Amino acid sequence: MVIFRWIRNQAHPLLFVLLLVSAVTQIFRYHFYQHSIYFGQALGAHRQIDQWKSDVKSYFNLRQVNQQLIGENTLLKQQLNWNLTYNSPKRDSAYQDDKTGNFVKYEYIQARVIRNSVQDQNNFIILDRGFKDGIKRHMSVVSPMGIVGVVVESAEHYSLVMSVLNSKFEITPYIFDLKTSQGVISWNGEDPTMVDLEEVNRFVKVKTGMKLFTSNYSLLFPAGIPIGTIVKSSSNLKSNFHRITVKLATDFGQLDVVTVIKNIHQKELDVLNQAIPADKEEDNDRDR
Amino acid sequence: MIEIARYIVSGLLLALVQTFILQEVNIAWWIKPMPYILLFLNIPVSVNKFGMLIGAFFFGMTIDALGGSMGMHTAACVSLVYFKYHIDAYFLDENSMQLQGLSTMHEDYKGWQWYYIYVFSLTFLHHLVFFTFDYFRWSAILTIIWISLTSSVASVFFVQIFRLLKGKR
Repeated sequence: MVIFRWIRNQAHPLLFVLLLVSAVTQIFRYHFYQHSIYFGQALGAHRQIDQWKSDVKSYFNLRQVNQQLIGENTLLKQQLNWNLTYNSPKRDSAYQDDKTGNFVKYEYIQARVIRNSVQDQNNFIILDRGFKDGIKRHMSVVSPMGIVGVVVESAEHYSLVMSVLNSKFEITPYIFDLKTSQGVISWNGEDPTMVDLEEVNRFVKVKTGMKLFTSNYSLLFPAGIPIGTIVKSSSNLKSNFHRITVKLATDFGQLDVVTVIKNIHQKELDVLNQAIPADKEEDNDRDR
Repeated sequence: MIEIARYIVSGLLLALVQTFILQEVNIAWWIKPMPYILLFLNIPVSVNKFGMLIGAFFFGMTIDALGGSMGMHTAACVSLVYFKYHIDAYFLDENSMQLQGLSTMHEDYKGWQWYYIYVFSLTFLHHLVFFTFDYFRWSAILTIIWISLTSSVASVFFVQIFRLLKGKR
């Protein structure tokens, strides 16, 4: 009888302890068997909710995704022309597209960005495709908006991309309005929307608003992919070169779906590239 | 009856906002606002204390199920409601509140300083329990206290925004 009375008096704290213990039990189960529960079937319902969550999230993104798709379509159309090599049966090293019968130079692999940074001095991106999907080093990565970077390492299911926002990334652009490929684009590590274009001859008439694309001299990127727009250029008599600031076409804060471009002749190009004697001399110079 | 339905709906809305928006938006690692405690602040102090405990348990379970944190929000909510009962006894006097026509803590009752002390202490208590289970090691005790404090400030901020959106009565 005393016990019953005690229970009745302490019912509120007791109920609290009971509920708390049941909550804590859940926490412990979750923490101890985090992996087995998560990847097992016990949380199938939870994964279903995750799926709904992801659906809702993608619904919010629809407008943006639509725009990206439109951009991507345009990019694909552009790619059609320069993608073709000769329709000659002798070029058996080229890849023949099953549907069109065309011999093409590039293969495209869609990937999703799962990790991305813009704050560091050397930024890298991780994609959810790896060498099992055919991704290898030195493949170029583009987004519907413009260039993104170059694959530097690939694991089984994931790959590491050196972003344009990396102090080691350099590329020579094609200045569309001047019909010339000049200078080197590199990032100074400050504003993630801007890059510097250096080594453009002072006598080249650079103006703001000029659009930059990848040039056909690039061994990694196909020609004609947007890099950005010139927003500032200045020159002085002391230097032979312009100082140019370029606004990147790609918004690195919003990367989602990207395309990894595989050059089917990359091996041949690599071999030829290594055979360039000038490079060797330079290397020797450096060694001395 | 309508009142209860209203609390259930607002609870669900808060749970959805918490799990689908606030939990997904990464403000900073040390700011994890959980303004859904507004629900407990909105429920009149005269409500049955057992019912509140059980309600808090299921509400916490809902958020855990949606957010995948399994038990953490439940433990925090149950603790919040249990200690709120005692904190209410300390802060609030039901008779004088009835005279003012108030059913919950309000700026008009004893002034805004007391209101914020009350809301902040409840929020901090809830966050402390949550982050204790989240980190769950002694070495992280300072981190737990720090993150509870900063997140509480953020939560109170969001609570005020929600109250403004709802319109002050």
